[in-house]
Parts: sequence; structure tokens; C-alpha cells
Amino acid sequence: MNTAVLDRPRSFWPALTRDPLMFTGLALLVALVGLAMLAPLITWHDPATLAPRMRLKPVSLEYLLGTDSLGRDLFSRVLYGGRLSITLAALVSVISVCAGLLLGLLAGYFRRLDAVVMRIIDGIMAIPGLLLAIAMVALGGATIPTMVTAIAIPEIPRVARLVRSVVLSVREEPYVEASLGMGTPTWRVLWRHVLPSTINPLVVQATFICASAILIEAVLGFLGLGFPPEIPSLGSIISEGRAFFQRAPWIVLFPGVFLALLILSVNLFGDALRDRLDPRMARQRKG
Amino acid sequence: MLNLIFKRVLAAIPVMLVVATVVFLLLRLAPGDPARVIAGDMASEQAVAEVRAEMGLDRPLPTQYLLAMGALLKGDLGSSIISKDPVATLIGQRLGPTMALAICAILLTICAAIPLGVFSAWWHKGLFDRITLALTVLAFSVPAFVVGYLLILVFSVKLNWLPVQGYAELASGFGTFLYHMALPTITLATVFVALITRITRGSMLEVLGEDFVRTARAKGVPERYVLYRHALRNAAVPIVTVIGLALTTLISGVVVTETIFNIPGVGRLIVDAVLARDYPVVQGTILFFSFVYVFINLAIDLLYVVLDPRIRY
Repeated sequence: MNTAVLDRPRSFWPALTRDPLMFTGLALLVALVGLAMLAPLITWHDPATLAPRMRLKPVSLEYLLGTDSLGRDLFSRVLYGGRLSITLAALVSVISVCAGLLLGLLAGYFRRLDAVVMRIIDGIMAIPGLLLAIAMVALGGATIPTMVTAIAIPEIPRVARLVRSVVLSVREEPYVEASLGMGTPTWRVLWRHVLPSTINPLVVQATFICASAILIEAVLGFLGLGFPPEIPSLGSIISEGRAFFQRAPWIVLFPGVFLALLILSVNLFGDALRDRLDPRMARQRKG
Repeated sequence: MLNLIFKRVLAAIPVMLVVATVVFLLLRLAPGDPARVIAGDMASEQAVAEVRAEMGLDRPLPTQYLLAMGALLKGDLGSSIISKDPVATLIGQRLGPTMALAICAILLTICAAIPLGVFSAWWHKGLFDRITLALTVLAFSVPAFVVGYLLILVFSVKLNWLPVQGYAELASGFGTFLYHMALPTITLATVFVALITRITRGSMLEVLGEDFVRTARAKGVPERYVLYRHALRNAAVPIVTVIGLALTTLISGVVVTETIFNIPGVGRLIVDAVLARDYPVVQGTILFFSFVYVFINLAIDLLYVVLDPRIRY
């Protein structure tokens, strides 16, 4: 591995202009997130207002993406749905990264806890995340806290394993041993030396958790387990459009395309970020 | 070999115990009261209490836990609240279509992804490699249900070549079976083809840089043999590992695919059970899928020894 390249201080903006994939990903992401967050300002139809006479209308100037089976404006429904997905994904990322970080630090640093924590984590990893989320949402109802918890729990083990592996390698470093030898308290060693090494891989992992959270929320909505019908979510719009698929395929296609572009932009950005921030995982690219 | 199998099976027991405990705790500690949900919004306090007693939810949590684990040891996954059938029987009835779908998807993945990955690595940074990589990123990003509906739109609605929904057993003829299975298989396999192509490519790139590959080429071994005999054989272990680890994604994909195409499998069973609030079926099915995951990964651990004689436990 060429360490000279890896150790060079990296500044963000020049990298962005040199890496077309990262640029595309980020530009697409900013555009989609901007559209979704500004939904109340951009759209001129309320996403929940029914207009029975305007059912299943195709694309027009008045209805940019057409209307659904109850005459609601698909453009505003998709944007509002996107806003919900993005908010949820951000919450899930923050929560699962924090919880995984804590567990990973505990398991990696305190050897006695390691066996216990890792066995629990192996157990959670064996449970299909989507099924667990389905069951928890069915029990707890489709509220934001339940939804976020249900989607975050299956993501925690991956973060914890990642942090643990970083901690295990850092704690053997001479400077950490020296610091401990000089009598620095454990929490301070963790804060000053161990935590900073976990940040880069965690930022990368967080983008992938975002992508996966957006997907799982959409799947829950698609299976009919998402939020109640008055709250538009990308998955539930698609699910409602299924019955009219042959007559009005746009009800399924437009939210589907929005969803795919959203996940694609997060993935592209995450891939590019990984190549820059996490040289261990980017090794394959150098081939 | 027998000793090895014994040791591995022994090591899987604690994982399964943790799985059962985690599923039990998460579903018991999740907000919401199953008894109230089952009894309905209009039910009186007494009716809710009756349901709670019937389900054993009025007992202390440790007692419930021990009872559930005891039943599990006897292979009892509980019984449906609605049909009163044992969950194991319900899963047994629905297993055929799910197995068929999963096996078709894995076969398609292996047939498509391994050659794609091998050739991408061989033409590293060439046009083929770049296009393949771009397509894998795309495939990762398009959710299975969007893929499914696009396929239905093109092949069923526009071209009228394949059925929109439905399932035919293998017993009704191989042609009929494939006719119904084609679109679900592609829907389910898309993400896997992308994943395994990437892993194969990465793993092959590493192996192709090794000395023994250069030696093989230098002594004039035909390139075909270099790729498949020397390189792929050595790249196989990470590929098989990822296939095993990705099984949870496959299981999630099965649930979605069975819903899109209306296939009467275990995936539909869990979705229907969730919609009908049939909690024992939900819990039993999750446990079943988790155990399948543990068992298949156990089998893969044992497979390593066959794939790579250098590995000894």
C-alpha cells in the first residue's frame, strides 16, 4: 500500500472536483434532500387533500407527476414522503452509530465484557433485520420512535463490530500504552486516542446505514406496515398504487425512481467517501 | 471431520440461544400491548385481561421466558392465535415455494455474478469492468419492489410474455414452473448478483496479483485455467463467506418478492401474520429464519475445509 498517498493531508473541495462520482453523488443528494426538505414551499397542492374528480390523472403542468387513486397530487406526496424518509434515516444513523460506538468501545477496550457483548451481537446479526423491524412496528404501532428503534437495532451490530476492530488495533499502539503507563485515566485515553481513530470509518458506515434505513422504511410502507395513510411515505405510496398499476403505472414508478435516486446518491457519496476516509476498506480499488 | 462437525455444532448452540433470547425480549419489551391489539380497540378491560391470560402474558417475564425456551427445546415454536395450528406446521406448509424461490435466486446469482466478477477483475479498469461496476452500484440502489414492478410493467403488461403474479409448483411441469418463477427470481437475485459480482471481483483482483498466478502464466498455463483453476479456487473462500452472511438480506428479499408476486411462501406467512396480529406466528417465523441462517453459516464453515485444504480448525 502506498502510504505516501494515504498520509497526505486531504482537503475536501479539490477532491470533490477531481472525483466525478463523488461530485455526482453529492450533487444528486443535495438536490434531492433540498427538494424534499423544501417540500412545503415548492409544492402547490396539499399531499393529503382528496380530489375525487382528478383521480389517476397522468402527468400535466398542474400535476407534475400526475395524481393517485384518490386524486391526490403525486408530486407533493413524493416530496413529503422523501422528507419523511430522509429525517428517519438521519435519526436511525445517529442512534445506531452512538449505540454501536458505545458497545464497540466497551467490547474492544474492556476485555471481560468482550465475550458477552460479542455473543449478543452475533445473535442479533443472525436475525433478519427486516423481519425484526416488521415485528416491532406491528407491536408498537407505526410511530416515529418505534420506527426509528426498529430500523436502528439491526444496524447496531455492524457499527459495534467496526468500532471494536478499530479499538483492538489502536489499544496495542505504543502511544496508547505509554499514555496508560503515565497514569492517564481510562476514559481520557478512550476520548483522546481511541475515539478519533473510529471517526472516519464511522462516517462512512453512517452513510451506508442511511441508505439501508431509507430502504427498510420504504419496504415497511410497501408491506402496509408504515405510517397511517394520511402521512405520505415513499413505500406506502407505491403500495397504494399497486392495485392501479396497469392503468396508472406512474403512481408506482415516480416514487420508485425518487427512492432509487435517493439511495443511489447516498451510495455513490458513501463509496467515494470510503475511498478517501477509510484506506483499509478502499484497498480493493487500488488493485 | 466428525470431530470438526461436532465442535462447530456445539459452537452454534450459544448463538441460537442468544437469538431466541433477543427475539423474545425485543418483542416483549417493544412498546404496545399485544393482548390489547388482539382484543381490539373496543374491547373491555376484562376482555383484554382474558386474552392476556390466554396468551400467558399475565405471568412474570422470567416465567414466560423459561416456558418459551422450554417449548423451543422440544421444537415447539408456538401456535397461531387465529387458526390454532402449530407454527411449525404452518411453516412446513409454506416452505416449498420459499425454498424454490431462494434456490432459483442463488443459482442465478452464481451463474451470473461469478463470471461477471471474474471478467471484471481480468479486464481491470477496462470498459467491461467500469460498466459492470456502475451497474452493481445501480442494482444496490434500486429497491427490490421497484425492480419487480418494472419487470412486470415490461414483461407482463407491455410484452405480455410472463404472468403478472402467481406460483406454480415444480410438479406442474418444469416449463410452467419457470414461466411463473422467472420474474420473481430476477427480482430477488438483482441485489445478490451485484453483491457477489463485487466480492468476486475484489477477491479475484487480490489473487491475480499473487506470485503463483504469475508463475502459472509464465509456465504457459492457458489463461482459462489460470482464471478458473488457479485464481477462482483461491478467491472462493471470501465469496462463499459473503453468500452466507448475505442470507439475512436474501430472507428479507424473499418477504418482499413473495408479496409482489403473490407467492404463497413463508414470507407471505409472516406478512399476513403481522397484518392479522398473529404474534406467535410472527415470532416463530423470525426464529425459524434466524436458525436457518445459523445452520447455513455452520454448513459454510464446514465447506471451507473442502474449498481450501489449507484451512484447519
